[in-house]
Amino acid sequence: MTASVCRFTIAMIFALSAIHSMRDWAVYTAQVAQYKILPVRLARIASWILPPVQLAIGIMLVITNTACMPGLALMALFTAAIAINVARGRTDIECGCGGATGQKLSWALVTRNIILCGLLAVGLTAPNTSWDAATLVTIIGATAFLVTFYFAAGQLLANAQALTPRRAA
Amino acid sequence: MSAMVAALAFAWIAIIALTLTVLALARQIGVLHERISPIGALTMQAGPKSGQPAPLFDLPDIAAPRRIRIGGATGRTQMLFFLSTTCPVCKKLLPILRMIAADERRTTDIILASDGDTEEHQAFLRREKLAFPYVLSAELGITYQISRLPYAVVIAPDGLLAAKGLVNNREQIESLLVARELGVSSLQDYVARESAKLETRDDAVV
Repeated sequence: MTASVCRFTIAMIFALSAIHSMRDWAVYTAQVAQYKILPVRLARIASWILPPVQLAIGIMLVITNTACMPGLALMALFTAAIAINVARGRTDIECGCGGATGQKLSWALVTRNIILCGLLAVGLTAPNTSWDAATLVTIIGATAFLVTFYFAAGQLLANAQALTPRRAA
Repeated sequence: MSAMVAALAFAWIAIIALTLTVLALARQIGVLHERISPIGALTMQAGPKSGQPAPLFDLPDIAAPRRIRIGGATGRTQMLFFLSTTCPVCKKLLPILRMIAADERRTTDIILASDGDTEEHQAFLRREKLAFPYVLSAELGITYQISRLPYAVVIAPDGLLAAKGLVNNREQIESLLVARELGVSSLQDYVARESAKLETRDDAVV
């Protein structure tokens, strides 16, 4: 049951984040370019590919727990990109993670992503079985709770960053 | 059994409703942050002051083989738009700049300004299909003390610096042009002036 909750939670987070990125695709392209990991042209291509891939993995995660592996690979990619830039000291650029706008890069985001990777790893452990009514209600409830909690926490983090005065430019 | 399932369902619905409330509150706080932060373009105090003659520059245009004169009595309003090739908000504002340029074309010239590698900027120019004069000058940025982007500076037709500020959306760019038309240096200046007027009026009533 826990494994299914973890898997469905990531599925929802992936799907919603990907849709969020695609709704303002031009801004997302610029955000990917700002990570300064790929040359401009490749970054542009990456920004076209990443959201559909993320959405596809999100959908696959609902169907099968084997989608956890590509999910982990994608999370590792995102986390590495964030960590590289935080290590470079470029914490004034936007995450572009989907969800809260204006979320700046920080170690908190790296930690968050590692927790999400943990959920994926747990999700890998059990395939779908049939559930009785109480289990089903719990799975749906817990998933919906974790997803809303994820976005609420992300927004609160972004708000907190807006409250801390930035170093004078 | 079914009573237990019903109770469980109710508990979960309650928890989710509460979390949704927290999410909604957090979002509203986020929106308030955006709203509270500058109405109109935020004017930085550094650099040349409004009402003073704008510093003169004569710079090569990287978009076409010609030179661009910035400042001086040109007879037209000049708007310098400071940007970088990587800032997402700058990119978002480019279509808006095009619209403003079309709306104001009889009175206003929009000039893009940045600094750095010419080739990189020319590639950016081609990619974004920009049809604005485009100058590169670190000196220009330093003169206006540009510390954050995108930043806009409006120079009146008589060569005096009319208004300047950090701009994040269409309203803020327009506020600079409106500020020039009203003869105030920024929207904040206008608000201060209007509230001063109100205070004197209150005094009169008392």
